[in-house]
Amino acid sequence: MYVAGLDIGSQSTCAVIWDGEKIRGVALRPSGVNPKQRAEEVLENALREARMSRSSLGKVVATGYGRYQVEADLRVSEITCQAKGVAFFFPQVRTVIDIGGQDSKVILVDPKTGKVLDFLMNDKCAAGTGRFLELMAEVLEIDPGEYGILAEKHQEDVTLSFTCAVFAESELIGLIAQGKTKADLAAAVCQAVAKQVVRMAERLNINPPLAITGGVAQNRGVLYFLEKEIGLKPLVPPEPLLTGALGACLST
Amino acid sequence: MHKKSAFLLQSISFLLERPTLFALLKPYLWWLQWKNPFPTLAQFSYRITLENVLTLYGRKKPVVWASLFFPAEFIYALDGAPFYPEITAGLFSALGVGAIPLFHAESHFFSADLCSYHRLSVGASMLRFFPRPDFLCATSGICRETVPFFQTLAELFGVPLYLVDIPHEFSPKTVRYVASQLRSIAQNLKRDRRVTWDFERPFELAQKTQTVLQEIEALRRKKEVMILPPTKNLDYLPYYYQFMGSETSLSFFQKLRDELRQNPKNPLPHRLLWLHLKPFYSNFLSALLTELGLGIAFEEFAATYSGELKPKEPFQGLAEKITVMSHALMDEKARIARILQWVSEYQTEGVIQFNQWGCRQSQGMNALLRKTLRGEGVPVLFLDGDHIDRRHHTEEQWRTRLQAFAEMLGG
Ligand code: SF4
Repeated sequence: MYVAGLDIGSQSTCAVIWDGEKIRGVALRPSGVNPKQRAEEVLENALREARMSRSSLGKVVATGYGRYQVEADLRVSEITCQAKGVAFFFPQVRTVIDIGGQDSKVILVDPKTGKVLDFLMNDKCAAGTGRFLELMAEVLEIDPGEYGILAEKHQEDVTLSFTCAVFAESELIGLIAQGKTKADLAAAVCQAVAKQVVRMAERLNINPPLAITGGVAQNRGVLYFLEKEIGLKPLVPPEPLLTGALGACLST
Repeated sequence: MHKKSAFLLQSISFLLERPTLFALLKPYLWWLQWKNPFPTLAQFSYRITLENVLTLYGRKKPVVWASLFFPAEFIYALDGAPFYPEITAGLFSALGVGAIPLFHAESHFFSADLCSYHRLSVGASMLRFFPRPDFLCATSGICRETVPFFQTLAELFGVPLYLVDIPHEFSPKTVRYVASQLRSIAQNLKRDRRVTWDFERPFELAQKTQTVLQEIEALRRKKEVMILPPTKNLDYLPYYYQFMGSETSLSFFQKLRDELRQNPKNPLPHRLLWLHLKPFYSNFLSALLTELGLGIAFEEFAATYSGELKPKEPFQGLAEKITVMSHALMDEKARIARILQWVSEYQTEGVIQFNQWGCRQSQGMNALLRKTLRGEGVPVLFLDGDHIDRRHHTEEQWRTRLQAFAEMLGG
């Protein structure tokens, strides 16, 4: 049976077509303001890549914050889906940190059964999420994709407040006025996100192996500081944005 | 503030402070009684609420404000009308009128970080929405915010405050210390307000109510029946506290017991224990729990006191009640031991605590609570939000956490 997994996140919407053994098609686009319509488009794109029609799908499983806005046969939380999606790539994984657009999650997984043992999600603040990186990129006048390259070049350690995105923004403006370099500030932003996530993850005890998913897993700067803070080299799935949608397929 | 709204608020307070106006409720109450001589639980609650409004705002008796763990039996014994601002804050929130007093308190320098039970109560008191007290009684348990909160109220209304200090540790010495404070409050009230005391009736009613509550608890322990919608029992809080020691509580719980016996509902797939209170403004949460199959077998604040209250030694008995009940919530070890006991007695698969914004009493223990429960193999979920102030809530965040929790239990 062919299954479509749809992950409708706050920032991006992904679709995966699964044939019971392997991935047949994938598609990914920013969620935009109409998640329902975007989910339809993404599903169509994934089906096109898989060379399939909608009628050949046995099931559609939705996850992500928009899972109740689309038509689906099953709706599963993003926590369960992330755990399942990551286990597909790394069956031994025991901790998953998913840093999404508007929230981050820490998930403890039982590698023997693949079941979620415990989880935590961040509170209502954008600090420690992809949105924080975007906001700070606007202040630094850089593309979020440049964080990694800039952070590698940093010379001085600058500490940024990481409890509130709005405070951090004004702090950043102050630091720019003091003449700090873009590289140092980009590194400071990445470090702030990493610290915020680690602070939450430590409440649950991080058991190795650890995997990182979500859009932020593609940010080399944040990964560098996460590794430094935790003292562990995290695993990153080949497509860290698709693990939720893949996990949705595997939840049937 | 806009002139029109200021005028409206002043008019409301003016009307609420006219006791004779509430006499208009009498014929309506009489009609209700005539129309429904055998009321359902909901009809009974509605009537009791109106009767209570008549007693408190109509100033039928001395109005005595108390903190949650100050026993109502003490107030009934002096023929007073107990009023619990923290409970009424929940009612205001449920009625959707919490925003006005919350906003009023905040615009008068009561920080938004202050627990919203107290913030709303201060705002409602400043606006004269709550019935004016004759005097106030409070204990220093279970949280450190209670004392300054009641001191503020005493200042606002210019009425005496009788405070009972509750030590953290529990021992016979502590009970004697609390009893001596109650005794001295009673003497002061006798001297200053010519109060006469009669403990016989409230104690008898409280004991009878306890017996009925034990029957309800026995029913709720049965695994095959889930007899109350999730968190519904927390709507009955006034009957556990404010009306304890009166006919009202006894009749209410007798009715509840009979309804539970006659109409057991189908069980939901999961049985859970609920810690602390809940967001009173939201019906969404209860509906969501039902949808996800998360039934609530028991709630921490529905815990009752099973000790004996003897009219011959009233202060000793009440002191024991206050100390036992406060200690069980204030002391980490005592609280966690009791939670584990309920997990086993009620055969619950997990525990949910709804964290109240700014509440140190409950959240200060979260680390140890989580560690101990996890160590015993009991899954635990902390939901963040506010019980009273709807500005701190996001339904979708609850949904994701609860759904993941349900999947974790079911998987
Ligand atoms: S919710 Fe917490 S802070 Fe608020 S009154 Fe109750 S114990 Fe105190």
